[in-house]
Amino acid sequence: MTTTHVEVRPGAYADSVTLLRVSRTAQQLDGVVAAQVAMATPLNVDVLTGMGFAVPAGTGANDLVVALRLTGDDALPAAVAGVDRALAEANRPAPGGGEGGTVAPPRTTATALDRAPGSVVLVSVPGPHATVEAMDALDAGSDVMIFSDNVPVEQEVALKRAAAERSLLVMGPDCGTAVLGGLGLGFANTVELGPVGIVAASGTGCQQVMALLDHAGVGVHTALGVGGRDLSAPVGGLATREALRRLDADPAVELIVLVSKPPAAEVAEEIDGVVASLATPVEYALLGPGRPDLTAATEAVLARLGRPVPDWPVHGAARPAAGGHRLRGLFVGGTLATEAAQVAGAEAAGSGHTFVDFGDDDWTRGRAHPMIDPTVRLEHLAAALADPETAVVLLDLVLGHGAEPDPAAVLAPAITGARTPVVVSVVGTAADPQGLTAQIDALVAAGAEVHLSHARATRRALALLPADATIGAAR
Amino acid sequence: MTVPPLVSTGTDLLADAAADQAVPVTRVDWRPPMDGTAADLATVATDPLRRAANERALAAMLDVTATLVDVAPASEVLGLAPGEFLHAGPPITWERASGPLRGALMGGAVLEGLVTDPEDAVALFASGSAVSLEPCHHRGAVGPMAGVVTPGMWMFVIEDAATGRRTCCSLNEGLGKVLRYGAYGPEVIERLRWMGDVLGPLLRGAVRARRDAGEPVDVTGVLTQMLQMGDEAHNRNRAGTLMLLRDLGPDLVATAAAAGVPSSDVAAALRFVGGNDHFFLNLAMPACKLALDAARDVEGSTMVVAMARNGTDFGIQVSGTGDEWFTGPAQLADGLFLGDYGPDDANPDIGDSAITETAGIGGFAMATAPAIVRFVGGTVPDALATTRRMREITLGESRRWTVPVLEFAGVPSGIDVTRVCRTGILPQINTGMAGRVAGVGQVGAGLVTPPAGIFPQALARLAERTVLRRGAAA
Amino acid sequence: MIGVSAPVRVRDLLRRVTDGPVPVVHRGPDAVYLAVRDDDGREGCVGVLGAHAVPVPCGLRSGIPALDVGTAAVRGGTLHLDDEPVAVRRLVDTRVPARSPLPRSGLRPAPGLPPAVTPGAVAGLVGRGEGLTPLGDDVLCGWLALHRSAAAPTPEVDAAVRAHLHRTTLLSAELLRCALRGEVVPQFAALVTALGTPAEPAAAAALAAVGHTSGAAMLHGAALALSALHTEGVAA
Repeated sequence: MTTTHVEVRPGAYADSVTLLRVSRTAQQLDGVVAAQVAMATPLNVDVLTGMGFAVPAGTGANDLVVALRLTGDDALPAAVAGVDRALAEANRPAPGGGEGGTVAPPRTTATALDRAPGSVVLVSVPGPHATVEAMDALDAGSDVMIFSDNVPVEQEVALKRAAAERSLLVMGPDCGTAVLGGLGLGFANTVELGPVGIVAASGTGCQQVMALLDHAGVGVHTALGVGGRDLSAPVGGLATREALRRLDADPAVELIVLVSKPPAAEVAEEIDGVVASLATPVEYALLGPGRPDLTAATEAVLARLGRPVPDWPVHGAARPAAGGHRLRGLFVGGTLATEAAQVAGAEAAGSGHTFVDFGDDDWTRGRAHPMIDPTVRLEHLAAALADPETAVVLLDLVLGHGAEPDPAAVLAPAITGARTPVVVSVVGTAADPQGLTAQIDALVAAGAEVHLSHARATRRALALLPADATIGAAR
Repeated sequence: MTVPPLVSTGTDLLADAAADQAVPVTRVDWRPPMDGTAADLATVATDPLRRAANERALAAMLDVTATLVDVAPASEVLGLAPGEFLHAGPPITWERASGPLRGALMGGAVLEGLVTDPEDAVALFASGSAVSLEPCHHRGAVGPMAGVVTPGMWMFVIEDAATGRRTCCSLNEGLGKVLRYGAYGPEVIERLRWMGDVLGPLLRGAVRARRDAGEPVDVTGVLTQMLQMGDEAHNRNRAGTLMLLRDLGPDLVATAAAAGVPSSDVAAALRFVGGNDHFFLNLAMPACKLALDAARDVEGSTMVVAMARNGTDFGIQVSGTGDEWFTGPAQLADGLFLGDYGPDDANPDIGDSAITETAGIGGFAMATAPAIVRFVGGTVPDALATTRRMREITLGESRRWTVPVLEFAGVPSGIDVTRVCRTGILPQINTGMAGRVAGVGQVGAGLVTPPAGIFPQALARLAERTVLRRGAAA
Repeated sequence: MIGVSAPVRVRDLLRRVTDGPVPVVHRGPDAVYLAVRDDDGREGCVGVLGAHAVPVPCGLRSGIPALDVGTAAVRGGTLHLDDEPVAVRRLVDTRVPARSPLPRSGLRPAPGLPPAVTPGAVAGLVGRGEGLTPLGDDVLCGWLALHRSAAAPTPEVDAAVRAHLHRTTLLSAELLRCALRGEVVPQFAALVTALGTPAEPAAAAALAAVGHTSGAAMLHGAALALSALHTEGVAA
């Protein structure tokens, strides 16, 4: 007989990644069946409720919830003490940044830049707080990458206007990936040095292009993220313009690739104008209905560089569909979800196929990105595999500096033994910290079919659908 | 392209990933801002006026050089009429006034001859007829502790040579049973009368002689030196006081002799000034106010231009919000008590002297005054940490006022409302403690902070103005 | 795990090193230098550098403030220092920037240092001086790298340098091989980029500040090369 313990601690803040670590530590304590330590955001309260915990009414987003399911009441004191230990451990001041050990770490971005002038700034605080930190960077004359999502668009516009006045670059908000002269920030992959410069309004789109180029033996010198909304009408491509100018001025960049959704019409014209003024050629990889997928766009880049297009590798082979009608696409990469839906195109319309992006703002309020915390996607994966309607499951697995250290280790057990065919696109480079080969091998051993090209993976998943799936959709 | 160093604000995971790539990473110890301020902070951060406004306000403050140009009665300097009383802090009524403020007002009424028995003043102030209360700050003045100024009290007059702007402050009475701590006994009144009859005129002679010779005492310059000599210019003013004696002594003797003042009066005056380690505080304060007043009324600036307490309320004024006071309950100081006094005897925080911290000295310059860290209940490492911590909430550093032990870093200057709200770090104020009951006087000294809530209040008003301006522009 | 950034060539070299212990030829708090032999049997030198070391083009750069290394070994294709794996997380470009034609420059050779680099002078330069990178070698490095930047071949000097590599320290020989390929420290690359611009004096000063005498000697070598190349009419 298990018991539950739910404890609310007001005002005890820790970031979502720290809490993920604390939760994992807590799950391994003696007598603990399940544990979640999280800020009580609405999403997290839903997760906790779904796990069968009763969170008291009136608990707010600034409160910390410790929820434990225990083998019995006698396990409680040790478990709570274990959580306290883990929290204390996690809250220890981070090493580095101070000299002599006596100077407290800086509390704001402004103070940090005062101590380390000329730094580039990476902001990953919760969205409602990101603008203030980013503005510190601009005030100090530094470029800034805003990893945070959930930043209001009017704040993005204000930041980018201020940056434009000062010839500074705002990468983001919701910028997952950037490479600055070989330095990978956020989820960026470990790239070979090479002639390509990328401007990307899409983090995972950028990663897909980097991964395919890496396989083709072409390096990426710099990849500047601009955030998914940069080419929308309200933002007007402010960061894209600055990023294009930066890459044009860099003698190491021979070809610029612009990865984005198609820009808003009025923005497209302005960007075309900027592109026309550059000395460096620009290749577009604009993912939209009726446009080439990212694999085709990458092939065009290779052609332009005069490099051969390799065979995009496939590992393992998915079993045939055993029943059901639906394709269930569960993604951590937003652009990968979009690309899959677009490759499915008309087939997907009204078919009941789903393409869910777990990195979307709705899924990340108060939680870490699914490339760091896979919990939510794993829950939906289990449900999809159990659903008799599901014919094929399509997943992505994204590697890179900031991603989970071994994502396949979590994903592989979840698909092992599944009757449903599982196709996975692994987005990564040979030098990524997780080890591309090891990740692929683990998934293949679990029965998945693994592609490097996400477009190919999607087509393969569609081909695995039973012949009547589209007929069913037509009804 | 060379790879720049990185500042990481947010999750450690991303900082670790960068550090593993062998780039130097500075990690920000980020924590959520004060409750309910996130939206206002973003609004103010993206105010297009903010950065230039703060630069202007800070530069205006740091550029002021304060000189001592006169000593004269408040009636003359401020045009204070009989029955007008100035006090420290934001506006307050007799009904809400604390013990020490009431005590000082009662003593002031005796000094002005409005009553003979101080107890009769209670009815006078309660009735409100023929007397009025007004903050010193509203008249270009500052007063330590109760800060009571009456028409007959003598004042230091400080001037910004560049603009002719002036501020003033009463003469310091010394420690113990004194009016500013709420004491009003006969010895208090007697001392004040002597200050008006003997000390004030003597100082006036010396100050005017220096001024007329084109060499007025450079108060800002003395502050620069005293910060190098172990004074933080709020709770320790020993070096500053001695430098004032050095600067005024010869002229004081010479002008007294010319005016036929008996040498016993001259000796008493010199003994009084030299025996009162806090004498210079009443010059430091108006010099700070003079500098901060230069930073007032810059639209869009989030810089605090005054912090002041009346014993009941703690109030701040901000450059970008005009003359509005943002107030909350004054706090009890944490520190050491004189004699048998204890926490129950202390009145909440009182005085305009927090103008020193507003200008970057006092508690903000604690690192330079290790001699008094024990007096306010701290340690030397605490003092160094305090000055460094205050840099988190200020717009910049002073060029003139520096701290030798911190490699001559400038004192943290220009408290930024947004940084206080973001970090939750409150300005650290060094202060004396007045007795809760009128007439007691000083009971101790220690450290105190403003009530946290006044900063979000000020921030909300700044955000409101930003939004209004945006609307007007659109 | 020790995360490092690596020049591409060094990363590739380490991948080819066969498993086994690796001799440490120099050990200090700022850097350790290892003698590696690739599977072709060629001997080379690889550094593992701390945060304060000169970022030599044969080095893996770490952010460690002070190194304390006992032994080194390669296992499974990965370098280990005292059982701690060294992971390459970033690649760096150590190639000297191309500057052809060479701009006019204010650089002048320093008095008291070798006055010229000729095929005949090489024997007197390699290994001349004290320390891990003798001064004569540093002069040659600067001279060679600047010629690579200008795309000016120097086959006779190259051959003379190669013939005398055994006469200097392992590290210095490796740095000479780097210079022959046009691989340099970042301060040298920055100087070449700055040549003929207002940033040149600051870049020259920054290079001169590298090491005890290394940077100044490289700068001298670059100045000798510049005056020779201008005399030969390579530049306009």
